Amino acid sequence: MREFFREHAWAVVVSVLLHGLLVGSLVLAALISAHRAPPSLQPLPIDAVVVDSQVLHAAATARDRAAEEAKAAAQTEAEAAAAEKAKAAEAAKAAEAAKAAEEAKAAEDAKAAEAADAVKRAAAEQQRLLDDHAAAAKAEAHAEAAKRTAEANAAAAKAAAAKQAAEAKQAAEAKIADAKRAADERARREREAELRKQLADEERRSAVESGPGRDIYIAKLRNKIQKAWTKPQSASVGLDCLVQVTQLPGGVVTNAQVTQCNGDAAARQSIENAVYKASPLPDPPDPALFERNFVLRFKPDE
Amino acid sequence: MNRPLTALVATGLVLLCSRSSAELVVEITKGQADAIPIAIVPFSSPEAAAASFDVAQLVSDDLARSGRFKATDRRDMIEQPHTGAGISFDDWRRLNNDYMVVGQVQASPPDRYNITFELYNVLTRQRLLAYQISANKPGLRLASHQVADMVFEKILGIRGAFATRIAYIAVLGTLPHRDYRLIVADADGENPHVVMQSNEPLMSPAWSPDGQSLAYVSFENRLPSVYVQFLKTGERQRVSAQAGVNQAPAWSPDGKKLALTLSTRDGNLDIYIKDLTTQALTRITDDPGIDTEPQWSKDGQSLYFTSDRAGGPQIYRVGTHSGDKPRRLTFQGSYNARPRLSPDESHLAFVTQEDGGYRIASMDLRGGGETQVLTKGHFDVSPSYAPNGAEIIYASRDRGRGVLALVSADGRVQERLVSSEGELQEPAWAPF
Amino acid sequence: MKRIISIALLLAGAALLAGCPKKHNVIEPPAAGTQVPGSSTTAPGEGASTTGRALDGDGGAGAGNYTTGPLAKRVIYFDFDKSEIKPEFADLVAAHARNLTAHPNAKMKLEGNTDERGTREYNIGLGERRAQAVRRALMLQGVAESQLTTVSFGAERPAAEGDDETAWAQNRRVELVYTP
Repeated sequence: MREFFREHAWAVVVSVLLHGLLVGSLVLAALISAHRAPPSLQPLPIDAVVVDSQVLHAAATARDRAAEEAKAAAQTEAEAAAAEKAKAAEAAKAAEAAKAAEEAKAAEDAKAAEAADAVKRAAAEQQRLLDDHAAAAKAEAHAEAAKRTAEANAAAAKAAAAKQAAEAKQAAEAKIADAKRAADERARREREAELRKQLADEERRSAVESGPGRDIYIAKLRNKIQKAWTKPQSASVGLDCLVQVTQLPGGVVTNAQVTQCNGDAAARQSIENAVYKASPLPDPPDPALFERNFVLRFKPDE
Repeated sequence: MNRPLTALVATGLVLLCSRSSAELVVEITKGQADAIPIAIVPFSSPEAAAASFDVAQLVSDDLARSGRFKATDRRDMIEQPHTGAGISFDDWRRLNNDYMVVGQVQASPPDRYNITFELYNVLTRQRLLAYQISANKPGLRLASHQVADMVFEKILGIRGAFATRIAYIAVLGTLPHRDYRLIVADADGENPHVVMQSNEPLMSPAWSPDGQSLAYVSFENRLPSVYVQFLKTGERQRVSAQAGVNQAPAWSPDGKKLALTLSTRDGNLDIYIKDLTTQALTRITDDPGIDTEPQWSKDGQSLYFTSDRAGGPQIYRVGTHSGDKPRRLTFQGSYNARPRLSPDESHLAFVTQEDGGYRIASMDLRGGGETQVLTKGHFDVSPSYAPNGAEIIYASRDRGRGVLALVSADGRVQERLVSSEGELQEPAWAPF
Repeated sequence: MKRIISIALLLAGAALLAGCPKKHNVIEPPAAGTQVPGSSTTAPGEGASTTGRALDGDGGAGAGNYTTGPLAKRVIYFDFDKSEIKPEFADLVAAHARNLTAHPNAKMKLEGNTDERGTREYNIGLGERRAQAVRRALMLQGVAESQLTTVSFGAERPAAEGDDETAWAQNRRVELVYTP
């Protein structure tokens, strides 16, 4: 074991250093992406006012009256607000999703940059080490040359030894290059693995959107709407009507607009009624499949 | 970087950016062939304005009898609002009502009534109709039928025929002393009036296009003769009583002529046109077979009729200008008779023999002439279209008794008409 | 005096009644046990009891009030949808033909009827066709055209009520009615 270390001292050191750098850069990248600014806390101002009970009582009754009067309006406002909130939540969620995607991308980029940097740094280190080696070898050669006149055998032996050293150095260099190549390989393989994982995730997600889950969602919608459609006698084969439907998460229909339709008034009315009657629409098996806006096509086959 | 890595990264980026999601389109291919659920809430009516019948119930019965509406039972009405402001739509929707009507009946002294009503779409909470109708006491029933007409037309887009009349023959008593009556009643069978009575058979009532007169066949002269009676005064005119057969009167669209069946001395029945003003007679068919049961086209240029010139009775069409050769229309089955044209001329209703019995069938005159059998009885005869073409009234037998029945023009729904006493036969639906 | 007047009145009344025209011809259904008209075999006329009817006024010379014999039978029955006179009625036709030719002033009305199946107006035509068939048969045997009139009641004057073949068979008929 010790001999191994000795012979391949540089290789071992370099490889340890490289691994350390890689791990370090990965950790750094992780830290960067996880880092968030903490919410800022501010002290709340407190208003201190002296009140007497009569004023309080009057204010209370006034408040009650106002509350009662505004109850109905508040309810509708609440509904609107809820809708707004839901919309905002949706928007926020979408924004967050986009942000997360971007952040992930940035993290990836950072990671890639870090890895590239690490590789560069490792290469620079190796270069420096090599330079040191070269300098050391040069110094030794010089000493040898000075001693050559004193002892010819020693010089010859030394030359042989130098040759050996050079060979050893060559071997060491080769090993360093190997180690570098191995480190490169490993880095690249890891990068590839990362990308492959991302690809697999993406594929899975698009499979969910076009796979059995979506079919199930469509079937559930079709079932409920067909059961709710009271078809008038004028709605028979040949009828072809499109309806733009807007629903909230949870399935409540907020809008059903008959767009293109070749049916008469009774047919159109029945179609609009069917959508409202089927509200709330069924949930999709996977929440990712929920569609806020979608199209219904009424095309009876009998 | 080397090539494979670049490729991988590129693919990854592409996937990240374009999340493929095709627009969600759901195809609906089936529905419920159901009647539309509608609630006619009892109309409020102060003591002083008590009508002799329940207006809301009449409207409800009309809509239900058409077969296209399912009228909500009053016991299922937890509240009975009289105006839209009093409706809690969620409750009515929960009870599975698509539409609802609320209203009031008020006295309008000295002797008139006001019916006020509103029609709502329960699902969208939209008010579709708001009307006030004024009527005197005898006209209150008609006004109520008009409410049903308006609701029917608003929802279905078809003119309602609830405020119309029917004529039919009622036979009372037993052999040999039978009593024959020609009766005119409201389309719901209520309010019957006897316009002609006889000990001898009466047949073939036919409404004039203006709804003021009835042509019919009477055997009071010991042979079938054709009469025209003006309903308001009861005044009668004997149009044709020559020896042999005078029967099957059919009014021309302008009300000036009658197509009818006459027999020659040797009993050959053919179709003629009689001008009611000039009394001129024009022969239309000349064939040894039985030619009878004529019906005019809307433009007055053709006649549909029954003929057995090919062996058994089939339906033909011929031009009213002389010399035109009749063209056969029915080819399925061995017995097709008594053609009746729908008001929009899209269909021809007639009697066909099927499974040893007689049923009402309808042939689509546009396109390929597909025939559909509409009824399921054993003795379904004498079809007559409602003036809105949505229904057919016909004569049927139920447990050995002659009754009147209704079938929707597409055969989907069948209803029995509340019948007065006697054997009821040969109904004819008056025009608007 | 009063007595004579009342008796005279009674007698006059009776005479009037005897000559009173009956509004409708009635054939009573065959008595139980006798053959009911079927689709082919024997006619109901044979073996069935018929009530003697008061004829419309004085039936003219030669008509008379026959309650027995071939002239008592005044109805010919037909098969469904047919207007041919079946062979079993040939004698009946011949008997009346002989009677009519023997009494050139005698007149006869032939009333055609159908069963209730089918449309009413077309049935008027079928009834007329049957009456015409009997008319032609009589004319072929020498009866003058002027002695015969036809009328059709279609399905409007059934002899028997009912929604079955028993009733229908009795309604598909031509009645031979001597008229003044």
